[in-house]
Amino acid sequence: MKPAISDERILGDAAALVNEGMAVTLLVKGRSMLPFILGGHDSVILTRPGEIRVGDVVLAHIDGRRYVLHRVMEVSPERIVLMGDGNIRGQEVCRPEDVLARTDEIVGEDGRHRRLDTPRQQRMARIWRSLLPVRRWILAVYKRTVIRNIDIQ
Amino acid sequence: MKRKEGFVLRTVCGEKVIVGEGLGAIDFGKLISLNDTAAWIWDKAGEQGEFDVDSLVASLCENYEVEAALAKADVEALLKQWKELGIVE
Repeated sequence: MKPAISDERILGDAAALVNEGMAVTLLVKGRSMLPFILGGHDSVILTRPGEIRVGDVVLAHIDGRRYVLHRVMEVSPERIVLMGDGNIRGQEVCRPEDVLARTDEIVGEDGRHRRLDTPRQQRMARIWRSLLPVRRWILAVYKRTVIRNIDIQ
Repeated sequence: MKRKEGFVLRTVCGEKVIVGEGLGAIDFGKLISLNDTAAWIWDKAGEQGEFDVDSLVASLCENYEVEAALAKADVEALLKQWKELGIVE
């Protein structure tokens, strides 16, 4: 069944509210930010992007046509490179002004908040990045075990 | 009764919703969505400042062709819901 409201519209409106200074909580879809964010179960709290640094998780408008919530891999004055933690290939490139929001905080289904910007989480993100060559295999195991258990519950 | 300060009606994703702007936060998973009539009543409640079931029913009957008894039942149900949600006090 086709959703009544497109994801593009929801994310566009969310970004507009963030730009007004609101903190927007939004349930995320997809598995592109595994294992840090579980689509369909976790919500993200979006706030103004501020200064963008490598390792931040941001909402960006790519090529003016699609939105992604991915991790920052490279930052330069002209361009930002992003990649989903749960992706094994494929990066997005955008301009700094295309980064519309950041998320430092996740809300799980149980209402518990988890921060992404703690030293421990940032260290885990760096380790996860270094595991890119074997990410495919780790994710396969993760999806078959952890996520299957979550979906069954 | 009056509307709680900081809660405003706005359109998000094509839906009329009440947003707690005073809180500086909005949860898309917990949006309070209003149909056209409820949105009209919300605005009217704001205009009246201090309002009650009877004042809103009177406005509703002035502007819409609706039986007073039916309007009263609807307004009562709506205000009960808004009270539970904490957007009126």
